Amino acid sequence: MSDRAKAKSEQHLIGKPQRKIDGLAKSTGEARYTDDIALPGMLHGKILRSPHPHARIVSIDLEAALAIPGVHAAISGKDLPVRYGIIPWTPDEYPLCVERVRYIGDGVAAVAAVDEDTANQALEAIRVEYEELPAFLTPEDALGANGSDDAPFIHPARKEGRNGNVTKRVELEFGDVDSALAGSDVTVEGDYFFEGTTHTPIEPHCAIGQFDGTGKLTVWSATQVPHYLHRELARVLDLDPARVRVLQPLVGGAFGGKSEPFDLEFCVAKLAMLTGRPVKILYTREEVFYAHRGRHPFDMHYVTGATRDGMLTGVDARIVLDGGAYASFGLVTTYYSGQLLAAPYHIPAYRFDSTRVYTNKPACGPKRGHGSVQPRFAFEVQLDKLAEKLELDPIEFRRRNFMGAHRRTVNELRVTSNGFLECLEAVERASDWKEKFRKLPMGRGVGVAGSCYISGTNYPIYPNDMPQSAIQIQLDRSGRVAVFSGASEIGQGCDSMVAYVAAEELGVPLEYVRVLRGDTDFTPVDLGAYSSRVTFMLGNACIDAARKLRRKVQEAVAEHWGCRPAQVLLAGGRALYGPDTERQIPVDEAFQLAETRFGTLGATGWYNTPKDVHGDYRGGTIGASPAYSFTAHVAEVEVDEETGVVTVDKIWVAHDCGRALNPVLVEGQMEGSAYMGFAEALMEEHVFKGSEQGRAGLHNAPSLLDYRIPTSLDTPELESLIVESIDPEGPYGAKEAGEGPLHPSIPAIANAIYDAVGVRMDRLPFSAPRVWRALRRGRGVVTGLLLLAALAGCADPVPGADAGPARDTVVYSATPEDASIIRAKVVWGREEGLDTLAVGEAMASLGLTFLGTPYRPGTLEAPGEERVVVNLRELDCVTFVETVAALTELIRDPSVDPEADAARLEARFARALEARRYRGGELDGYPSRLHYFSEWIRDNHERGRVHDLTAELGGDAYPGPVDFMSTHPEAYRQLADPDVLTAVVAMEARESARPRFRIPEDRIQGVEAGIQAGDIIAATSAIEGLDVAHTGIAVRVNGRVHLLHAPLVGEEVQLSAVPLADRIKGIPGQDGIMVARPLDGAGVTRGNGSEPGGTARPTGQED
Amino acid sequence: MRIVQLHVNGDRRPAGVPEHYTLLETLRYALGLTGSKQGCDKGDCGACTVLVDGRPTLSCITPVWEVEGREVVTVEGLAAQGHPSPLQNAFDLMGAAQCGFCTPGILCSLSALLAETPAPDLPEIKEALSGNLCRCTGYTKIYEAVWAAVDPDRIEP
Repeated sequence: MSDRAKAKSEQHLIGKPQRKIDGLAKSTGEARYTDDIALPGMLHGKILRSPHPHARIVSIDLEAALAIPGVHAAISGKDLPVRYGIIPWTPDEYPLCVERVRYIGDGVAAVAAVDEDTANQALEAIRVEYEELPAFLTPEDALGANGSDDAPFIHPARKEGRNGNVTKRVELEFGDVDSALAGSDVTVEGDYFFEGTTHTPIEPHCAIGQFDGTGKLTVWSATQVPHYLHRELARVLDLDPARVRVLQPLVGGAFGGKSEPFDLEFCVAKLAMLTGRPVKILYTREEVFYAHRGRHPFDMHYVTGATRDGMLTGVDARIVLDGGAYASFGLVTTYYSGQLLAAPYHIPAYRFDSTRVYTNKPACGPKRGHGSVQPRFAFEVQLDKLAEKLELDPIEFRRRNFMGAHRRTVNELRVTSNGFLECLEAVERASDWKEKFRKLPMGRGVGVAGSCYISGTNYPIYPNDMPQSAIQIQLDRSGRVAVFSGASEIGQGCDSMVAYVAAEELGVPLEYVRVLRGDTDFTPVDLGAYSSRVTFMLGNACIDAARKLRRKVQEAVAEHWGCRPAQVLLAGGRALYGPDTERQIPVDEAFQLAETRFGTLGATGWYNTPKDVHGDYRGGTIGASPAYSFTAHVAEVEVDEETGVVTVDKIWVAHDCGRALNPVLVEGQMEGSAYMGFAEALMEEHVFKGSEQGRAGLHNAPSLLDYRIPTSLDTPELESLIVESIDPEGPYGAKEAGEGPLHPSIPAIANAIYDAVGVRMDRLPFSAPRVWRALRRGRGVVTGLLLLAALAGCADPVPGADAGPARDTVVYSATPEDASIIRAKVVWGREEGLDTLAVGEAMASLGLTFLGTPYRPGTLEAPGEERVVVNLRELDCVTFVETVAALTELIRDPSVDPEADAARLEARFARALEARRYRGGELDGYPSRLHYFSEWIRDNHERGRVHDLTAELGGDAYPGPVDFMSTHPEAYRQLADPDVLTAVVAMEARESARPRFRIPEDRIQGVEAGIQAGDIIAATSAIEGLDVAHTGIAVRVNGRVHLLHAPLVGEEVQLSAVPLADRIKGIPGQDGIMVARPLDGAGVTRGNGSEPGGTARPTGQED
Repeated sequence: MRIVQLHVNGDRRPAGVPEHYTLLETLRYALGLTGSKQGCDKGDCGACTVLVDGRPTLSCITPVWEVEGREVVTVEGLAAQGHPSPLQNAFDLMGAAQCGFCTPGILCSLSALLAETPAPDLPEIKEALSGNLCRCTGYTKIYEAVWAAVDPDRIEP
């Protein structure tokens, strides 16, 4: 190494561990956050919040509050009637609600008082009259709305005829996806659900407003976006922007949760303007949960294809985003949900269709890994399933599909440096992958996943061509370097980063650098801490400013030494002569030479992104970034098969950050990201109560005790493996590290759970009850490749189209013919308007279309373990009833698309069947099937799917055991298993003890008037130990009730020739009926099934 | 109002506060010691942790009168004569404080641990930290800081 190079390398700061410039202040308690500031005469503000999820505000009376001594001001929405929103195209919020509240927690009024207690008293004195409106708590509800006056859309439709509950829909296709998938050798289709989560910074939001005698407003705020806040404050309060100053003290964590203006910032400003005194508002922790703007719940459907040799062919995605009450960043989220999936793999054809829906819950927004963490989870699990089908190691599969560096993605994003392969290799090696994958004992497993993320966005939130980031530097003759930075220090270390850059470029010790920050009066504009933009943009801006000054110093020193400027090095507090580094002067002398030569030394530097590095299509700019980071994780887990508890032992995190400017800080970002991903995978659920739980729209757990974020005891071991690809445009080659490394944690854990116990967890979080249920379904009993082979033939998991608990997997068996029958019946039913009839009428009409369908008993008794058998081609008396009821549900569910692909339609139908056929609507092995039809009726009655009319129609209670199955065990193959027999005997004991009702055969005709078309009829059995002998559907013919059914005698579905009453009387083994009226029910079916399996329903029935 | 006699960071500090004030409110609003943070005001997050007679205590759920006459140490009292303690220094060097909002409480919990267990192992550190939520670090750098404080050779330059 030359002396020159040696001198340089020893003095480099970049790439080495350094202190943070605020590190000691944070360790001594000296660091000041917004709530640490107290101003003379400061008042305490509080915000009154809506108790209703959706309501019109009829009136607000502030008088009583204002009358309380010590209350200085009270305001409501009409005092600030200007809409705002972080995205200029979707301003849909008011600082305080004006006419309508849209979620529990929406702000309606605010007060300022001498102290917190008085402010709380004032809130209690405010009278608000509401007129409640129907609330839309799920995307399904919201999408089904018609916007009537009684149940208005959450926001007015932007165009006539549109659904106002839709924030944004994006449909983009790149390449011919249908052909690509059709030409694939293997495809995997799956449904996934990502639960909402929230940022949970430890510092609650806090703001202080001050308005001085000159008409200048100052706001201190714990915000990530002081510049946007500055703009919105001026606009909403109608102030000259030059008279507004935003100060950003240190921020105690944000993660995206403070990246737009919030009600408290407008309120402190307005209250300060009204009172002439400073006003502070500090959110309670509960308010932080309601302020939210966190991760959107996503319902996702993916089809992914590959060739036999393991090359991806195409990806088709359909996503519904549950957006909450306001748009927030939702327009961007909707694009990101699709746009950011296109790397690091080469995807020849890609289509996505994403819809963001308003619901009456706190608004969702950007959380670390904005909009791309959810699809990444689904997609990386899809890849794991594909790799398995292809019998490829999942790391090898990913490697094979690596897109390469300096390429365009299928959606035309320009990717520059790409260290993804190195990331894969790093985690593969560090985790000892080859010795572990599919080789660990039952209950232990490893999983891998990859991802990419943006390093900033190429376009600012509001259109303009000015720099996105800027720095001003001033040099002093003492050697001190003052850096003026408008960037947002939220703990990630951006203030330190600019200090490292300035010290590196100007050759001063780090302690010579001061960073003046977070003050819109004195620092150049930086757009904020979001989209992982700061290091890339601010770093480049700082290099730009520092180099302008460095050149001046070099020139002055060169003149002094009589050499060329390029021969002057600035390093380690000295100016050195390159060819002979013994020749040197202290840096302050060098600065003095420059100041003498050029006058006072100052410079600005800035950065703007390259344009035209994205596709020329609507939305093509969204997701375009100057550079992309890449990540790979391997997670190792243990799953307790008894309890379902998943323990993540370790996550290896390899991240291509381009260049680690300070590796300690980069590792901190990687570890913090992986931790947060782990938390979303296993613990966190930002969920709200439904109407069945009392207070619809109420946060389920707005505290840090109940919303469980990981403690030190929960968090796995995290190992950071930095990969440096040296980006050609990044500062010293750097890219982002703050968000990318979160993504793969979740799919890596899901894939590891599968490796451990063979269950696919396609719904977050992987909580113990959910894993336990999946294991109980009998899917976790085989290990390793054995299991894979067994599952390879199974349909892929498909979640419900419905809300709530419907999203687990359902395992079923069906044939292509079944899918076409389902499709045809749904189309026919819709054409016939069955979705507009009473459900019973619909069932009767639909049932008649099955006339002539062959009778076949025992179709449910497939070999292997119990699964939901779908067979519309051959029916017995019970499967006929179940099939007609399930199809009716599909016809009447508007979210069912008859044009959907076969697997999706079949799965939806299988769920509807499962909901009726199994106890609690959930398949859990053979004993969970509702073998005795009296239990079938009661269980479906309890779940609102039918209404049992037997007693109401005058039926008698009749005693007697039901034990036909256990007294005839030879008739049921499954009863050979002693565990199954035990379960069946227990079920029979339970059933025998319960009251049953029947309408005796001689009274049937007398109650016929109470039986409607479509009612489910069960003929009671005279055989001892058996409750029901036969089933069918009531149909009215010439004023009499006849039975539509699938009987053994007759060999096909038919309508009874004689009325039901006469028929029962004529059959010796049947002595009465039970009647159950079908209902539309909750429409919620639970998914999941098990291995192939089956058994017989009680023989001895007529059919 | 009530006058409480406090011993905080070695000083005798009388303070006049409302009857219902917690120790945290008294520290922050009456004494100007804003190092201890309010994250939840319910004893869930640990950001308000201070030492009372050497024991980590959640100051946001401790009525101030309970600590009258007892020794209270806050994060501001951990540095001796302006010299950060080895643990405070190590927190900076090892990147254990990102946003820094949980840091004061964590330093109090860990200082109590090191007073009793000068060379703790990982399970002991995790146990001592388990009442303090950190949302930034994933805790890894905090463990490293403890070891670096115990054995400065582990600190990289």
